[in-house]
Amino acid sequence: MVAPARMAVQGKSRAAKWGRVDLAPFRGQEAFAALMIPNRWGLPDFGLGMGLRSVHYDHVLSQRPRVDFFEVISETFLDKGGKPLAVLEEVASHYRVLLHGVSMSVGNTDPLDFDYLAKLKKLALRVKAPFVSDHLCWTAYLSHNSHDLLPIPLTEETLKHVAERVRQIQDFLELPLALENPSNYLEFKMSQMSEIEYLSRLAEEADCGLLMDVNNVFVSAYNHGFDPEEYIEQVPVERVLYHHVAGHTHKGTHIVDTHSDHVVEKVWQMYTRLHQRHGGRSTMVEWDADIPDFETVHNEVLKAQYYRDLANARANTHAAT
Amino acid sequence: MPQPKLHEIQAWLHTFVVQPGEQEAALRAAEEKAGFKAGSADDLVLPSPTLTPQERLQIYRGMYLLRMQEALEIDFPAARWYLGDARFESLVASYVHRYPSRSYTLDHLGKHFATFLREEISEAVSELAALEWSLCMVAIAHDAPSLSMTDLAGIPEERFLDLRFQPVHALELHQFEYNANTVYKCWNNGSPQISLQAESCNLVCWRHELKVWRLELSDSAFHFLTGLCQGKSLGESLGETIEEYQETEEQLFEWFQSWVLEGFFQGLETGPAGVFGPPL
Repeated sequence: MVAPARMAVQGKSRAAKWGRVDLAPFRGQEAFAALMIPNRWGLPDFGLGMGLRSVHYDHVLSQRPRVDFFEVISETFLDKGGKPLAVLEEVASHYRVLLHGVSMSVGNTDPLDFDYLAKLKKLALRVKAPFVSDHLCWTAYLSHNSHDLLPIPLTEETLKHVAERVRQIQDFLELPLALENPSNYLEFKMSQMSEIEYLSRLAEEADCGLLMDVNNVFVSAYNHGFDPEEYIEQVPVERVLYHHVAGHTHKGTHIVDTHSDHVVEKVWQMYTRLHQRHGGRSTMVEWDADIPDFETVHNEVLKAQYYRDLANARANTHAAT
Repeated sequence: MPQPKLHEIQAWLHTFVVQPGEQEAALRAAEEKAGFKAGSADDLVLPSPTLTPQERLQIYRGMYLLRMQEALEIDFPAARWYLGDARFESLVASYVHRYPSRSYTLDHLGKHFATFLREEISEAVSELAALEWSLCMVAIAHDAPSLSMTDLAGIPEERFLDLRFQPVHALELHQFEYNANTVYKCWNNGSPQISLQAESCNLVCWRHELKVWRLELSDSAFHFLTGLCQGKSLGESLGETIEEYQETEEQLFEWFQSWVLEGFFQGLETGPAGVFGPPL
């Protein structure tokens, strides 16, 4: 098999760049459709997307590259005008836009910020977002925002607390919320369950979706010393609306989720396994630091198609046997 | 140690993350805030295969300052250039302790930076930061359809001097005592650095067709425009400026026309003071 990195040839379409992996017995879409596990909301697979970042604004607007969707950081566009909003409106008129936030703070003990949520709801309506996403974390204490995704002790008490807040948020937004597993750098002694057990129960109790960031699983697994593949096998795939993949920085003693590099092969393998399990979910490559030119990021996005096709082929092989 | 509540954990971790100074002092401040005994890191956090609880906590603390640093570097590039990287970094650490972020977005983090620099360094550096902050705010101010000359053409001549104008959100006026705009220009053009020095300067910053502009104004033009933006009628502003600066009415109308063309105003009021309408 040709290594994915060497298959990134010139060409405009995803199919031209990556083709379909032709592994017998591939029995076509009908057979595959039967293997697809739909998400709880019946939301479609929106394909492969990338983050809309200011360094690429001119390229996106002038070249209109073939991208299935763009993900935007919600807070970048809340309650403001000028170029950011003009760019977003132009992009939203040509592409599907998905919203990803960093300040919802579902794990906070401060009251919910309904002013923030009202602005988010307005933005979601504006770009016709099918759902919104944020992280399982807390970011502020007594209204002082650290702008970090701080970890929550994984206990029965916090599960109840977070589930109640998520229910309130979804009721207010009138949209599904997909919560992302964050990259974590510490574990609390008082935690009573694993992160994936916590997320699975939270998704059921709050009836929310999950944004499964495969790189974050890899990062946290290294930092905490758990088995990432075991984690992937426990993901409740019917709750997964969406995937992130990204690059990271290995510091020797720990890994930092820097979004500053190519996705590592192990993360792609875990991603492939997840797709083999659920049959297809929207996927976005995050690249937020040392951002290279558009084509480099786009090529990374297109690699996902190779692994999705590989997953489809494996799923069909498994079904046929 | 009894199992702490979530809000206690958050008081502890948040305080540790945002507290400036040495790690040990930050941990003591966090313990005091949450009412925990000494040794809280070992009591609350598991070691990893490679890091102690304290080292794991410190990762979050280091990232906090880096994030604040990056946000303010984006908003105040000329102030950073003028002050130098090391001094700027040190000032950011003090600034975010005194004026922490209280918003969901880092876009607002620099709101008090000019005030802070006035408190800590000088009025001159403060003015440079105020200029940069103004450019940031003008860039993202709410959109509004601006008034055009066509809108004004429909106004009966006899009512023209009674008109009051509402400035667009994306317009800010500054009266500086130092050459902040000249220093900013040096940074912007990649020219050698010059010193901030006493030299009064009137400046208007505005956004037109998505681009941010700045323009130095004479004292008379600044007085005229400030009057209009403060809600004085066109006649009042004209009269005051002519009387104080001996400008001609033709000159002032020429400026006024250029400001309308640049999209300085979004609404006008033809009746009693206080209620602005949209462009006609």
